[in-house]
Order: sequence, then structure tokens, then C-alpha cells
Amino acid sequence: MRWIRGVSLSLLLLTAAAAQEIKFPADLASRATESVDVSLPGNMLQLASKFLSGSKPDEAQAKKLIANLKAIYVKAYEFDKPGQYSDADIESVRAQVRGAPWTRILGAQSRKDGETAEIYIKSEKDVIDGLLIIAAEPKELTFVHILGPIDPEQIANLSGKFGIPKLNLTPGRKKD
Amino acid sequence: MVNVAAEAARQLDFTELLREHQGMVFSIAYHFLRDRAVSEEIAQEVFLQLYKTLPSLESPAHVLYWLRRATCNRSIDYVRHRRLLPKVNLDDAPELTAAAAPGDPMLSARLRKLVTSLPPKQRMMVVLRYQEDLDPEEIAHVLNVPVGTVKSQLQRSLAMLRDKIERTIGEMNL
Amino acid sequence: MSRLEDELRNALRREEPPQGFASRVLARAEAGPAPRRWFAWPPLRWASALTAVAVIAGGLTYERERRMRAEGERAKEQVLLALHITGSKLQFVKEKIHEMDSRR
Repeated sequence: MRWIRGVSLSLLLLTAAAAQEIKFPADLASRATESVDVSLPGNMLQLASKFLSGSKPDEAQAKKLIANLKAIYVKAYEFDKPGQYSDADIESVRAQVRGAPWTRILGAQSRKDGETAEIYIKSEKDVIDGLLIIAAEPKELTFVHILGPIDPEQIANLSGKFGIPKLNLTPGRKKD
Repeated sequence: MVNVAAEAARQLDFTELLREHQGMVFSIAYHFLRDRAVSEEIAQEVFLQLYKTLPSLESPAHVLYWLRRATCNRSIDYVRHRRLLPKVNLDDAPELTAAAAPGDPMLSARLRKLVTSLPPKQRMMVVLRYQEDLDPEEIAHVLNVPVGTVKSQLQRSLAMLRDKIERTIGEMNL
Repeated sequence: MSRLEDELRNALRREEPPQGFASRVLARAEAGPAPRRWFAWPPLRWASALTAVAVIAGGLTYERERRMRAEGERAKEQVLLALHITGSKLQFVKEKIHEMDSRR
């Protein structure tokens, strides 16, 4: 009986792990003229960490940031003209982060300009365990999904590195 | 004793040259081939050849010219020998370095990809011009082609790159 | 043409070679062909066969390590790309929120 419990536990853990991943529309790349698909599960993050130099400021910051992360997924698409992706493509992702443990903390949408900008965080017991960014423009669509414990200060600092100006992000602030 | 001292002096010079120019040599190969593993092999071969050739080189400027020429020749020969175009799949090509400059990372990635699609000699001219900041006369000297050829091929490459960029993302005021 | 040229300079900035590149070159340079005097002496033939095996095994190890390094460097650059895009999109969100606030 013990082995049955062991197998069940493994299946449960596998399911939980799979459930942490957000499913992104699969056919966007075929509609895009350019796409970036970065999938970095835990083992790849650990490998990358060994090659990130502690003496270079950006790499040292990156090394610190990914130290406890479980995964990073980036799906970025560029299209040759507007209308190559639909609201349904974005909604299929949004639907997966609607309700606890996910909360939308920042969001702006302009139907006129065809732009959407949203940040969701996943938190359990006051610990942030996931981040989703949706950034949509008429000819560009990007999803960033980060799994694992994230310090809001590090998120704000992230936008201060790699040539990007700092983002003023107040932890726990909700904005619709 | 004299031989040991001379050998030690040669080692020291070589080590300094290696540290000073490793980025340049690797980058020329890498921006041309977009394959880190092959680029490292080529860069290693260039420096091993330098190690043997060093006594015959006359000055730091001569070494610099020699390194650029050797790297260009080996990179172009590799492509011709393999008769392949390097991989241009954006997903396959890790693009950023730690010292990220401002600007659109995807535009930079697309430009690198488009540069890789140029014919070998034109591609190397673009790399030497915009990575190494060489003027057409210097490029002509390194690649052993007429200056006029360098100028016309650079112009043609820029026109092609501008056309392809604008077709994919619209007018960029380039 | 100047903006395209600026973007090309940005795109083609020099990159550092993989970690340990200089050490590997120096190791190969120092291990280069040294003068040897070979004798037609059976124990040396065995020694040279064993050396050949060691060199081949060493070569395989080198190849495996080279692939590991290439894989690690690639993972590192993917992380930096991912973080760069993340930072860029955070900035995009900030700008959109600011625009929205300004309209109110």
C-alpha cells in the first residue's frame, strides 16, 4: 500500500508542478514574423547561474534575482500588421490567473490604441510566488511568466538594470 | 638561460595580447557565424597561430591587423568549407550580453539575424565596419579587396538591411 | 542611414568569449608540439599507445566539457534576454499606467 501512496504523491506533485505553468496560445509563433520563446525551468536557471559572473554588475544582479526562482518563461511575438492576434488569445491567458491565488496589481487597457498592459502576482500567505506580465500592442504581444519567490523590490530593481529606467512599483498596491 | 628568458618574454607578450584582443577575435567570428562553440574554436585557432607567428610580427598595430585578417579568413573559410548559412532562428540565438545597452532588444536581435543572412564577404564587411569601426580603406586592407568594392558592398548591405527592417516593422526613420 | 548604423553598432557590440577562454588557449599553446626524441623501444610503443588512448579520452572529455560550457553560456544569455524583456515590459506597463492617469 505504501508504494501506491508513493506513486499517488508523485502524481500529485507532478500535477501541482504542471498546474503552476500557465498555458500560452500555441499558434502565435506561426502568425508572428518574429518570436522569442525562452523557457528556463529550474535546472536551466541553476546552470545559467554558474555562468553568470559575480564581478559584472548586470550579471551579478541577474544571478541574485534567479537564485530562488523555479522557472522563467517569456513568449514575445512581433507581427507584420495589426489584427494578427485577438483578444481571445490574451483572454485565454488572463482566464488562468483570474481569482486566488492570483491578483491583478496593475492594469491599463486602451481599446482605441489596441494596447493592454497588466501585471499579476500569485501570492500565498503573503509570499509572492509568481508573476505574470501581459504587454500587448497592435503589432506586438508579450507574456512574461516567472515562477518562484519574488521580492517586489527585486522586480522594481529589475527595471533599473539592463538599460531600463526604474519602475515605481509599490508592493501590495492594487490598481484596476 | 637566454632561450628561457626569451621564451618567457614571448609568453608574457602573448598572454597580454590574448587578454587584450580575445573579445575582438571572438566577436568577429561570433557575429559572422552566430555559433558560440564554433566561434570559440576559431578564436582559439587564431591565437594558437599567433603564438607561432608572434616573433615575426613587428608592432602592436601589426598584431591587430594580423589578428583581424586571420579571424576573417578562418571564419569565411569555415562557411565556404561547410557550405552552410549559419542558423538564423531567433529562438536559437542567445542574444544579449551582460553590458546591455539601451535600445530595443528585439530590433538588435533582428538586425543580427539579418546581418547573418548577407553573403560572406559582405557580412564580414558589415561586422568590421560596425563592430570594429574600421573605415573602408582599413576593411579593404584586411580583406584584400579594392576599396571601391568595400564601399559599394557596404552601401548595398545597408540598403538591404534597411529595406528588410522597414518591411517587417514599418517606417523607423532609419 | 545614421540611425540604422547606430542600431548596427549596438547590435554588433563586442562580446566576451566564454569563461575560461584565455586559460584554454594558454593551456593549448603551452602543450604545443615540443621537441621529442623517439626511440624504437617496445615499452615506449606501449607508452605511446596508452598516451594515444589518454589523448583520445582527454579529447572526449574536452568535447563534453566544451558542450557543457556552450550549454551554460547559452542558458546564461537566455536568462539575460528574459530579464531584459521583462524589464522592458515592466517599463511599458508603467508608461501605460502613467498615460491612463494623465487622461483622468
